[in-house]
Amino acid sequence: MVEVRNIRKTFGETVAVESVSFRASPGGVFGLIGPNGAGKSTTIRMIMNIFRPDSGEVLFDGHPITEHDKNRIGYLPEERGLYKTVTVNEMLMYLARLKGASAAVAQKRIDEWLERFGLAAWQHRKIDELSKGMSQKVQFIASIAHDPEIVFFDEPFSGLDPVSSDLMRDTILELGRTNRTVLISTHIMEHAEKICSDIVLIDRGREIVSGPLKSVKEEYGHRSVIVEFDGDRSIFDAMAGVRVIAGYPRYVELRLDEGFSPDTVLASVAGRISVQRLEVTTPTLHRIFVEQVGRDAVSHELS
Amino acid sequence: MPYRMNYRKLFTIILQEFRMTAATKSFLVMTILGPFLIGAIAILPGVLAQRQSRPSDDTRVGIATESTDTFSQFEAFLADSPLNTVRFASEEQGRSAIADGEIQGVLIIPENFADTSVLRYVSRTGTDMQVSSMLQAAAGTIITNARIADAGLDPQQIAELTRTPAVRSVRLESGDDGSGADGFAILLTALTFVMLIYMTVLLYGQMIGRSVLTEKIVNTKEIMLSSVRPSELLFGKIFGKGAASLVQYGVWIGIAALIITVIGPRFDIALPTGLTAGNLGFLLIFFLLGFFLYSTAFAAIGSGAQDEQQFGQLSIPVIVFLIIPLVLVSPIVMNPEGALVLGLSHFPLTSPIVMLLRILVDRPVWWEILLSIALLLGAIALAGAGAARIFSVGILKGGKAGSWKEMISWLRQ
Repeated sequence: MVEVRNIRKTFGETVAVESVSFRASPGGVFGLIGPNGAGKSTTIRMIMNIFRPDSGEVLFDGHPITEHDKNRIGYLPEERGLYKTVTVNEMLMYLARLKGASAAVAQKRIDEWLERFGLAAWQHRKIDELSKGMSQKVQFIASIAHDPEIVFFDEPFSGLDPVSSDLMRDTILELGRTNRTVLISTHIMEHAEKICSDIVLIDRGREIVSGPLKSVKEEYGHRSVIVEFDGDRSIFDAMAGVRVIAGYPRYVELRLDEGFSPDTVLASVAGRISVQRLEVTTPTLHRIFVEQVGRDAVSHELS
Repeated sequence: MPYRMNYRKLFTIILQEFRMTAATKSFLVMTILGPFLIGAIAILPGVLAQRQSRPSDDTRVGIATESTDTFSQFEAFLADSPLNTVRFASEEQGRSAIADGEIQGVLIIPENFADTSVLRYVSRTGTDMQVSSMLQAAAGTIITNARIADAGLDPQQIAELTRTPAVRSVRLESGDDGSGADGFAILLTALTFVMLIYMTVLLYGQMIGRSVLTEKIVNTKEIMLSSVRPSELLFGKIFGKGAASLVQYGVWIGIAALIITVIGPRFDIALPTGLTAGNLGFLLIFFLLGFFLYSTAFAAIGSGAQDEQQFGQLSIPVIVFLIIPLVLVSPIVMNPEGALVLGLSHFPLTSPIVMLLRILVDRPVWWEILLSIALLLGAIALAGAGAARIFSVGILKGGKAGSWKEMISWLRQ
């Protein structure tokens, strides 16, 4: 289990992380979510013991992280690369050995993973012969070849084609199911929505929202209604109990006020426009994020 | 705590860095070609000097003179030399013989030979100094002897009376009559050693700096630091590449030993006298000390730079200290006990080269050598600790250009 308590990190005048807390347990996929520059990478580097936090602490199974804990962690950094002049196998063995894995065990796992990712034929080729996608997969294997209990994937889907992306997603979910503590960071909300069981949303170094994905959606998301229609769009602007979040000539997304239901919408448009489709949706993480960060930005300016 | 390390991980890094250095074509080429280069530097001058002092035995030169008497005097004087003389009655005949390739050149003897101040030697190249100086010596003696005889004196007796001894520089160390142990040979060895240390320290030092820079450029730094401490990565690189350099030096010194003990005596090649086992030992010691000092500096620079160009710029102040002793080789050799030389032979950045030079030309007292080594070890410890700090901050820095001022400020973080 990984627990982060009020960590803070500044570089000179710049506050990279102001205050972030969360707890990731084995058995699920935890998402650290936020836009570029939110402080995700700095947070991860503090968890990885690459940076020391100015204040706050990172606990592994209840004790502060030590150098030895590095062997229990697998890490796929966002800024990643491999030595170009060595072979795939040599690189993977080297990194696994640096994590304290024995040569025999590491080799077995490397063979298995390369096979699974369709890279067996490339095992003894030089890294600089690999395509970008292949090299991404090799980096992913490097982060798990030593069979870590805790894995951290920073932007794991960046630069992957759809097929590899699906393979990666399945592997990440499987790692979670096999009782490992899995953390991912991403700025793409759709990815988080598909695989995360718990999330923390951060922006400008501060925690905005956190908790299980389901309860975050319930707490922060209001149900909304999507209507596709033919007719005059302006009737939605004057309608009681709804607010237009997104409006196009033949498509609107509406937020329902407290005490109003989709039926209200249907009743008030009946006969005035021709409804093609009416859908009740739970809000996307994207929408929650934009709303929370937007509101936060306003209060930030006022204070 | 720059020196706290997990030795298993350190060893893994050393092994990998060694393999990535030693298993390359350029390493193989350097290791194999090195001894030939060194051999060439060590043996060629001796061989060339032997060759140069004696033009080949079948060198034919013409003497253009009408007087058979003058010609026979030349013939007699040059009998012991490699030159074979041929007489020509006129300059034109001599010139056409050169054109035909019969002779290398022709010395023109004028009618007023006894009073002439300049003689002409016409040859194909105009630059065969060895031949023309032999002819000059012959002509000089013949004319002088003629003048002495004209004055009614005995040329043989005058030669006996005016004989002067030659002066040969001999090192105190050599103890015996100093056969062969002359300053030129020592200078030659000194230059070879100095160039070798300069090149290898620069080569391996920069290799380490670039290797650190590569971690930043190809972005392996973060995955590495999520597994190991910065100090383990830094010293793993230094020791790994150091081990590769030791293998290279081992091969070279082995070849040098082979030349000294087997090839030299068997083929009767005059070896530079400075090339001894003791001096080779000092070469290795001072190379290693210089290597560790400079490689820590280059590693720090590598972690501060963002690209190759910046690495080059930041390296300049360090390289200057490697070049200073090179520029001063001849003052050091000529005056090995001057105050500047004494200072530079104890200042760690210059002492690996300057102290080695002093040892070669002017064996200093033992405690001076020890002091120099001790100061170097101290400097290496300090530089290592400093580099580890600069490295741990610098390796993760991205974006803006590094500077020395900034790197020094990282020491305090």
